[in-house]
Amino acid sequence: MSRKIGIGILGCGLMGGIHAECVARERGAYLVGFQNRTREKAEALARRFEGRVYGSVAEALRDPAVEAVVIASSQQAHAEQAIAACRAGKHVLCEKPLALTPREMEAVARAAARARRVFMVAHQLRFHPVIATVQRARRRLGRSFHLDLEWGLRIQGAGGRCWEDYRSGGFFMELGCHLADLARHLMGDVRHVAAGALRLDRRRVTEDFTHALISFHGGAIGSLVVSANHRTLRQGLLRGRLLGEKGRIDFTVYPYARAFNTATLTLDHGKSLFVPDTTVRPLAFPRPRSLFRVYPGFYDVYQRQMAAFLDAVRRGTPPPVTLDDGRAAVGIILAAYASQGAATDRPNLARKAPAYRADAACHPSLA
Amino acid sequence: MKKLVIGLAGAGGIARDHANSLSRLPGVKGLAVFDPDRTRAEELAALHGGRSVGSLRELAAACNLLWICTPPFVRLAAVREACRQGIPIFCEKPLGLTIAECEAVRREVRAARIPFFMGQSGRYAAFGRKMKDLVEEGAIGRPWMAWSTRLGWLDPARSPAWRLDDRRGGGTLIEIGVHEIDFIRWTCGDFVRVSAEASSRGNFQHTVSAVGTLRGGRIARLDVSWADPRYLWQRGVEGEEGSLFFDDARVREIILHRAGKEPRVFRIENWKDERTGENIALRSQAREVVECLFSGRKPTVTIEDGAAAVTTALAMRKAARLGRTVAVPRK
Repeated sequence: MSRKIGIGILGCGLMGGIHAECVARERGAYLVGFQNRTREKAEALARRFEGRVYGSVAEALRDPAVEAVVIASSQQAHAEQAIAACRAGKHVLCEKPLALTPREMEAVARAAARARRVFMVAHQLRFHPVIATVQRARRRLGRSFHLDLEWGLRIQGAGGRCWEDYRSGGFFMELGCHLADLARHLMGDVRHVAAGALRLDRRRVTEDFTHALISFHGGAIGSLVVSANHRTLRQGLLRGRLLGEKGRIDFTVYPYARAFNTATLTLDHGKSLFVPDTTVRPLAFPRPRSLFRVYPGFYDVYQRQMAAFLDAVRRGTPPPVTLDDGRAAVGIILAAYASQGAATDRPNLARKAPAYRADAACHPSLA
Repeated sequence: MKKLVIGLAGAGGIARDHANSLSRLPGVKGLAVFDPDRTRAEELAALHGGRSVGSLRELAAACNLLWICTPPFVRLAAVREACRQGIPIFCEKPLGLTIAECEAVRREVRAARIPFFMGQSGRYAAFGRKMKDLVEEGAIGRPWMAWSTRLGWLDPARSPAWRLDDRRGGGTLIEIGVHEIDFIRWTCGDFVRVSAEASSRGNFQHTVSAVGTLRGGRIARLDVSWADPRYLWQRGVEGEEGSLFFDDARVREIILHRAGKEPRVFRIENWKDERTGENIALRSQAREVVECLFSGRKPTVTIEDGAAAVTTALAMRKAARLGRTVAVPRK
């Protein structure tokens, strides 16, 4: 190991803590310091990981010991902090969503291009062993033509940044962003998005259910469903289904327990299309013991993500999840909002935040 | 009315299922069968002690209730023949392949002033009925979403050619999707607008995903495919206080989830009468048709329901083709 990379954590909530833990476990990196809007949170992490506390983002970025930053602040702050970090010449691992509008994303992209540093967006599902297994196995399906991803949560409250403030980007932005990236990861670029959404709990400002239909370049189609009002399946279960000309893959990803992470491949051995002469078998994937108690079923995807980021920094190579990937995922979400806002009267997120509608329209490839 | 002779137009797969129940119905005197494939018609008639005839005209003349089970693309001709001869009609779904066809059926039936019974067997299936009852009883509070995922496979070697040709069969949406659309309409209300994406092979649209806005802002979700080697048929209704979930592939039961309570499970009877081999939903539907015919009572499913399901499916096809949200015509 030639040198250790100094990391600064911007945003010291749940995700900031998880990223800090990942850095602490990496032999090739160390935690330099922490910044948070509420200073006490930064101090708590600084005590735990023995780092400095910065009074501001600017102060953190001025620290020459900080070679790279992890942006884990609230999503409204991502773009501003990412631009500042790029201008300060830092490598960046930015939590999703990259930003909340195309204009912001464009500004981040410009800053990153000038900085010529590693810029990675945290879409940790790509590092999940189930997803990696599905990605490998999908080749056996021949041409894939349908992807279905559904993430159902049961959230009772109407408080918190996601529900109280539409500037957070909305619930589909919060969770759907992961599905949008996963859809691209598995099926390629998206051509068109249409969505239906509902704000079931009227105490909430933003929508709490969205079903987005997407079509991919190449003709395949997909459904992305995110619900905060889900009661049917296990709370928090991400369920996926991929249909191809030679079979089907069903998979589940469950952050809170290892047992509900599964992948099943059904291959159709019939001589002609649609004839079921099938074998069904579970797909094996590595099940390492989880280091984190928070998301044991995620098999330390955050650790793998951090290792990939640090590897890209060390080698100076493009990261596995690029800024363009982050932009594309947000673009899908914005297009879904724009579609839904144009089609229905409620909940009209676009009406509450006109910038969303205008900016989504700037995405001709998606709108 | 005198004892019924039912004229079965078509002797394919679904006609065989219907015939199995029709021949056992109390009050039915006999069956007459017509199919362009004369051998097939004769076989089916012989199986149920009926007789086969050589044309639609002969069939209408030989019966006092025409039971239309032809492929969709020749349905209108059978309707016209029955209307011409003033014979009551039972018509399998879909009502037509286009809005114009559905309109033509309604126009002809209205002009002929004959009873018309729409075949939408899903309304008579025990699980569909139970879900509807639970929604109406308020078991899940106010419903806000109905959804259906129906995936299966189609064997081109065993399927008639028209089924793999959207111009004659309507594709997955018109053939199978109308059942799911009807369920959603029945439990949650009419579609107002829809978005959809579709995947095709040649002239056959085999997979469709759609999302719809229902009256009152409710949501509908639909995934149908005839290109999945594994069978999967699930339906659900989500309400403000709970949800209903039905999975046909795993267990025939409806699960009622309510916030803070243990799930309740409702066992559903098998779809098939093991003794007679009858499809129970088709049998219930046939019994209601005959009962309505004798009593003059209004049937559960109307011609408007049949037209609405097709109109919605066509709107989904259009939305998929145009790549934008499409309003569902009201009529």
